[in-house]
Amino acid sequence: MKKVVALFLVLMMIFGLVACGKADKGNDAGQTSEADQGSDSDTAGGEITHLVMSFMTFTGAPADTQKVQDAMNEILTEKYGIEVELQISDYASYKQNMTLALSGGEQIDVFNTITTGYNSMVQQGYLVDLEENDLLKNYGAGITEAVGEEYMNACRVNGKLYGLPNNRDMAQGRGCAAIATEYLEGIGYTVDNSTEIIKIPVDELNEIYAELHDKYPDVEVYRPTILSMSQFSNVDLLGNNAFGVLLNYGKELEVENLFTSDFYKEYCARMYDYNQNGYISKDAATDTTAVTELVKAGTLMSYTTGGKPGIKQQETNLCGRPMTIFQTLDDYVSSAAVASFPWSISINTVSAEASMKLLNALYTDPDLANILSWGIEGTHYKVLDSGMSTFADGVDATTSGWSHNVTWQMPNQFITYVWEGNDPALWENIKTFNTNAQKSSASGFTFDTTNVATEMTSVQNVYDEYQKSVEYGFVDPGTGIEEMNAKMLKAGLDKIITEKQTQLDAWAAAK
Amino acid sequence: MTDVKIHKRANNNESSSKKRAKLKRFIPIYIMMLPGLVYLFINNYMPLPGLIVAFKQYNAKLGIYGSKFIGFKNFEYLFKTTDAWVITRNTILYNIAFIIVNTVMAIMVAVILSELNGKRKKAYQSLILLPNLISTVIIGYLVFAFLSVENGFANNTILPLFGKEPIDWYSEPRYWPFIIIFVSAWKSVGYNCIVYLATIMGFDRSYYESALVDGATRWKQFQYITLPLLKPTIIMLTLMAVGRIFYSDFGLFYQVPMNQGALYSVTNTIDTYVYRGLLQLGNISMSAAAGLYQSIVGFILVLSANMLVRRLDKDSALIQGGN
Repeated sequence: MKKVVALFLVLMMIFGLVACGKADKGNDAGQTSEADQGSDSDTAGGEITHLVMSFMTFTGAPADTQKVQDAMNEILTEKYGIEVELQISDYASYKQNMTLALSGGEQIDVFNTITTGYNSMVQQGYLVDLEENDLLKNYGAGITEAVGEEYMNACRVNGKLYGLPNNRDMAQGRGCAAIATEYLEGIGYTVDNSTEIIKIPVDELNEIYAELHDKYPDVEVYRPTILSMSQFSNVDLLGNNAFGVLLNYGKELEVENLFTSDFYKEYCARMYDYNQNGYISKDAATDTTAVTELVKAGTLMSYTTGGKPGIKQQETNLCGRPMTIFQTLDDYVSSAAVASFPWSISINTVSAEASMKLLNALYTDPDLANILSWGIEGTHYKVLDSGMSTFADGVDATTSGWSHNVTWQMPNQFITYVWEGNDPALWENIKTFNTNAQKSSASGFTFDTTNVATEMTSVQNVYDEYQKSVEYGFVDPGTGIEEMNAKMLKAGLDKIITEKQTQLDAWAAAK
Repeated sequence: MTDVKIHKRANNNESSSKKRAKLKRFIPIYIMMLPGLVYLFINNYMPLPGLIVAFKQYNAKLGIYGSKFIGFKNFEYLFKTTDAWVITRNTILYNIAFIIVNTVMAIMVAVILSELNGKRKKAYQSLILLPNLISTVIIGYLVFAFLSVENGFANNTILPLFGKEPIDWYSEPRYWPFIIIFVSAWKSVGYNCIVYLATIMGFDRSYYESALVDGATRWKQFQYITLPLLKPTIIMLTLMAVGRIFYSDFGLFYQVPMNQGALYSVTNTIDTYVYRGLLQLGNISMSAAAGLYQSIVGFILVLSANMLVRRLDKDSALIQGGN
């Protein structure tokens, strides 16, 4: 009996090993045969390059990824001699997947640098210099035209271009508060429906909050998030961290300590008041439920957001009830806004030329851009007589196999259809919004952390320790900020600020 | 003289042929060991040279070996900060507490379970094992259901029963050492007791029968039979735990306190510190440095603990050593 079992196990093992080997081979065979098919259909008879393209959605690869990929390849193989494979991860694991794939030498050709940190990708050498051997000039001329020289230059690191900015809202309406309209009506506030964003001074916002709290004492008035402080400020977070910033919309190239600034003291004092008045839930620091979900559930009235054209519709959709947007500060393009998640070519690419061709196609070919954003016409979306798009018949947001809500991440959404419910001139509005906003004088500056990596780690840990208690107003800002600042100085905040100033000066001089 | 030599040679021949025979007998066993060894070599030994990345300024273009050598600079951040003392203290003290509390609890539960029989035993054992199968993220929310300031069970039901004021659990560090040790014990006792239970079930029942004849109470049986027989197992499991004393259960210290900054003084351990610090930077070399540091300290701790055990009780040591 024992012998039989042993024999069986041995056989299982051998079979397992063989199966593994076979499966690998099978995959390879599948790929080559696919490529063969591709070249058969290619009338030009040229060779088809198989490229891997990566980006993220909030929920991972949509159900119809394969169909969309096939639809893209129909155009790509014929026109450009390229075949693309989409590798889509969810928001939470995208960074890890990309780091593992890139450091492990896996084939990734074209990818979006969102959450991976464009700057750190450059510093660790994962990205191809896009102007080496005139790559961009020869194969990507349409990209510069679609995006504009100014934004391209904002993605340069030490003068070299490693990423291509996508066309989207670069500016951010600072100091915006979204309040559910029904509560505003409840306190007798007349909502001005003529504009999308209502401009008011911050005192008026405080008064509205006070009235809301009087009328609805059981509903949480305001819930801060980790982003609220920067959204509700005129501060430019140089290199996307709060350690050494430009104050006053980055008009001057002077790196300052945020935590000793008057702005920070006032902001935290305001939050402390909110807390003392009972506007903020005592669980605010622990509860990680999205603010929009809380509004949807009816337990929250207001939160901070970043303003842009289309924001009212966006927040209304997210919250499931009409929202009104107030703005207390100006629109602003921060130094890191343009280069926060450009598209790049990885060093593991099989062909940098083909990758650039693919990117060029995605930036300039409306058919491809629409497939990437909205899916397949007739299956996922349809075009209305008005020239706007909406869900195809019998499909909605939950049943559609390609409804990813990350069209802003795609290379060029300005050449796609505007979704129904928005202003038909949405793309034009966003362009004007970008042009009219105040711009940081450090636009395009990126911070190289190599020399201060040790200090960055230590200071980040101090910030994590105090951020929520101080910025959510759970501790008296008088003592809280000072304690945090003292600890940060001890951890090397000064050294980071000095290093930032040095790099900023060098950057300005080179410019 | 020559006589002796010849005799020696003959002896040698004899022993070498004996060895050969022995080897022949063990060949099938060695072959059985081979897949495991190959796996161990590929998975655990081949990546070892890569540890050099801890001393480099990693650049993907240049590769691990081509990157610039920067000595111990990657290790600096572990020691340079004001928190170095806090994270080391937390990591070690918590682990010592876990080793003691969890071992005592596991033995207690194992002894009690061994007294039960039949279906009841199976049911209890599964119930106790259950928490070990729950993801730490969910445990974090279970704890939150108790400790939430506004809606928590503790503040709304338990504390009013005793006429106490509600407590801001997530901003009061002093309660957390107890909460964390409690959660750790609750989570791991079911799993830990399995080994002890299996060992106890393997004991010769005649010891207990003769003890009963001599009129020994349950406690006396535990004290003089169960505990001494369990000693090698206890020492082995403790030694293995000591080897990981410089590691912390990441989920327990990150998810269960909901990553609350106000609690860092009692919940920040080496793993959470490295995670938080490097989440922003994404620096592979610095992560490797932290891992290497933990491994080396863990290695030294196991060896010294084993040495101590060998001195006190030679038979129980994991590695027997030369003399």
